[in-house]
Amino acid sequence: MEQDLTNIILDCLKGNRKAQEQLYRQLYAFAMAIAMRYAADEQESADILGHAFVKMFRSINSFDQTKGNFHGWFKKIVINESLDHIKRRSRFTHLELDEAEEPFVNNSIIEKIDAAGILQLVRQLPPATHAVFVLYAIDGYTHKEIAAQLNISEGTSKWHLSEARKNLQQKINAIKI
Amino acid sequence: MNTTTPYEQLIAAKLDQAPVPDMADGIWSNIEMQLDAPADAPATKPSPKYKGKGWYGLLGLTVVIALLWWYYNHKSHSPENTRPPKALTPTNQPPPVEAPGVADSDTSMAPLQKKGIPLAPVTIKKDTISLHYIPNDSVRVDSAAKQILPPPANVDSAHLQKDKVPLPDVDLYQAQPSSTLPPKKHRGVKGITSDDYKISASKDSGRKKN
Repeated sequence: MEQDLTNIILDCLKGNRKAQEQLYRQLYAFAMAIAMRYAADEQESADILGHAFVKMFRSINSFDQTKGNFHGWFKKIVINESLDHIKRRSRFTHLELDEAEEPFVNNSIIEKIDAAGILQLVRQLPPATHAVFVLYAIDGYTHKEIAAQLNISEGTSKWHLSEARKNLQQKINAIKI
Repeated sequence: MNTTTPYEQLIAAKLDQAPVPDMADGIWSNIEMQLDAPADAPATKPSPKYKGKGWYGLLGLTVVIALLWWYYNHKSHSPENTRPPKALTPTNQPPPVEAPGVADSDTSMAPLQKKGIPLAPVTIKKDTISLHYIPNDSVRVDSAAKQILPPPANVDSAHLQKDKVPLPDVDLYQAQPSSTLPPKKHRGVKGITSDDYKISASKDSGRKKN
């Protein structure tokens, strides 16, 4: 499988359209899952995906296998494209926060909610708060990395995360199953 | 350091299981279109650059035109240009005396036209030479000419030639104010006054016939 991917990438480097389509089909579900976390709806996730694949095909010659695997490299492209979309439609308020209490959320409630329901809950967050929460809680970014990505301070990133947690706590605790 | 809570880890796990919408074909056709675009891109990309340079060129041209307009406009209205030309006044040699019947203005015009001096200064020079009383001030020139010289220029030039009076230096007259000009000369034939030309009712020829 990995060997197949390497061969497809080599063909993509030559500009082979068939190989590009093959690579697209292989990475579609992986990339769409990432884009859906950041997008407000399916249409926006499709836009993010389209732009991310075009960028990937145009810059595929800059991919360096020694620095990491192809999926990790492509994931960064998709996340960056997602953040560009979020920046276009929302502003990041500069509110500082050093420390915040961790809200209590009943895990049993989350376990009973399906994936589409969770996605819907996350999408209800304000755009900037939504982006910070997904970057931190789902994709594993640190506050420093988030601050650099979104051109905000670490304190602002922490404030957005705190707001996301409080907001989700209220929504999840309000669900009565 | 990234420290996620247990419920966040649950959320992340749930989101990974989220069903992916079946939009692969539609998105691919869009990607194909965008990938085909680079073939046309070079034709469209240089135009904004050229457009930007074009604006700079247009701006520069406008500035040059404005400067040229200002320069010529300012030059034509400057005090140096409103004064009579300096080359006309400092003529120390007396102007050549013309034959009777030839106007002074004709002789004074000829060399100027050959030099290609513009029309406006030429008319000023014509007045200067024929009247010989033009100071720098154009208003004083007109008043002096009316007081001192007879109206027709031909008569004056002939009179000057007849009396063998050398033409005065122009600079001399320019240096003198109008109040210090020489006294008015007699005009016409001696012994005949203006009363001789008066027509009275008693001399009417029509009455004598009756």
